[in-house]
Amino acid sequence: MMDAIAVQSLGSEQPGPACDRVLIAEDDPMFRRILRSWLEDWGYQITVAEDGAQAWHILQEISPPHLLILDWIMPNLNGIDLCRMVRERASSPYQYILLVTAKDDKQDLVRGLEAGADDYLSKPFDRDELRARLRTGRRILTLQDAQFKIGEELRLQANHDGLTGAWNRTAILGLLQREFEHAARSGNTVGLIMLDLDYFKKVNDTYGHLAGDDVLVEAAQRMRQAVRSYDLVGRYGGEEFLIVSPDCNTEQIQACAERIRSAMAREPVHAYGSKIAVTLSAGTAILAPGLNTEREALAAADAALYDAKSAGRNRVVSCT
Amino acid sequence: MLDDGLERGGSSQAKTSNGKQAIAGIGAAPWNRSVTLERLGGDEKLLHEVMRIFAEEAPKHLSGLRDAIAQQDAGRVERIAHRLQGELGYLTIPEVLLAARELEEKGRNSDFEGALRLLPSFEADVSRLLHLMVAEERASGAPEATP
Repeated sequence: MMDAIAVQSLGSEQPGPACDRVLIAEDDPMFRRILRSWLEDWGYQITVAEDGAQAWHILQEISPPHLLILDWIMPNLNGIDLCRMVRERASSPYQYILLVTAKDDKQDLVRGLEAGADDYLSKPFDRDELRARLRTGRRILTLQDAQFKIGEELRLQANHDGLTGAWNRTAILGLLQREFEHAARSGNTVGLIMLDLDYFKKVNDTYGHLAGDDVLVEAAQRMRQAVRSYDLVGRYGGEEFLIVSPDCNTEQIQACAERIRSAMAREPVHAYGSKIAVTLSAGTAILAPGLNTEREALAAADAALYDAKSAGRNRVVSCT
Repeated sequence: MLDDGLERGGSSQAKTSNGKQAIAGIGAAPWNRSVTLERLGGDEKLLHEVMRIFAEEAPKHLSGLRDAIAQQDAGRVERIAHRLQGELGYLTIPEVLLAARELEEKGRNSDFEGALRLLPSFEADVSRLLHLMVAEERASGAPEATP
């Protein structure tokens, strides 16, 4: 995957998406004009700062450019100090810095690189050389972008159930722990719902496992639609799901569980060419730091789910 | 406009038989439009813009340089000379470029007497360069720049 992305970008004349935006920090209007003209010709999106302080301000934005062309000598904040500030911030993703200056001593070059610049170009710079150096920066940023995406993908895979997209068991239990700690600090309670699809084995046996998979995907989808945006839906195992609802009391969690039950029972699932009527049972409990632990709350929700099953399924039972 | 820059910049120059200008004081290093144009990627519009900006900025730089030397502000002398050095680098006049570099060094070393000695010929060279640029522009038939 990484190779494909890298090769595609390296072979392209146009900048890759990771580094098509360039910040030019240059106080000299002539160089600003030249840089803007050339970079726009080469397909970059340009943001211009007329001094170092303005450049630093732009770099505080949520999504600043990743490729920076900084003049060494600028009013308010010079390019060297700006370089140091960018590096001290150690932001991710990495920002590639090309320092430009009329200074051309070897000592100046060393000073510039030691301040955190990735490359150094003396004024007046040659058009082709500048273009080639920007491509080098772009290559590095594109590779970094590919690695970043792979990291994100791996994180997603590590935390999510591959079939339903819900949090996996490890992740949902970790999130429950986090919400417990948060509730202990804020004094709020956390609602838990343990859910189980009724007669799911029969679905698999009758319609096949692919249809069973479709049912699981649809069930997770209906659960996500029925809860609040900040509630957490996890696949606890097999056909069992666990929902963690921060800042939620007994009545609210019961209502939420009932919404999910109703959403599931209301219409059949279109699964692998069949329409399958599916219901679920749910047990709810409240986690109240100081009164019970996560483990106790989970056991309570599980016991309530068992009661719901015993009472005939397709119903919600709350732990009392 | 380029002419406005010339008015602020100062002196005039002699015209040679082929219609080009010779810059007294910078020897055999005429303003070479085609070399600058090549450096700018052959972009006539950009060349014209660059010349317009230089015509606007150079007189301000020269005036600032005079003030900075008079006030013995070494940092400012260094900064302005450094900036002129960068700009002149694109205009392909090595002798004037060297003079700017020397002025920057004088500033760095707080050598105000030395800077003062260099300044008149440097000012004259830059002014003549501005005149020469205008003449070349007219000779090439390029439209007059507007600010």
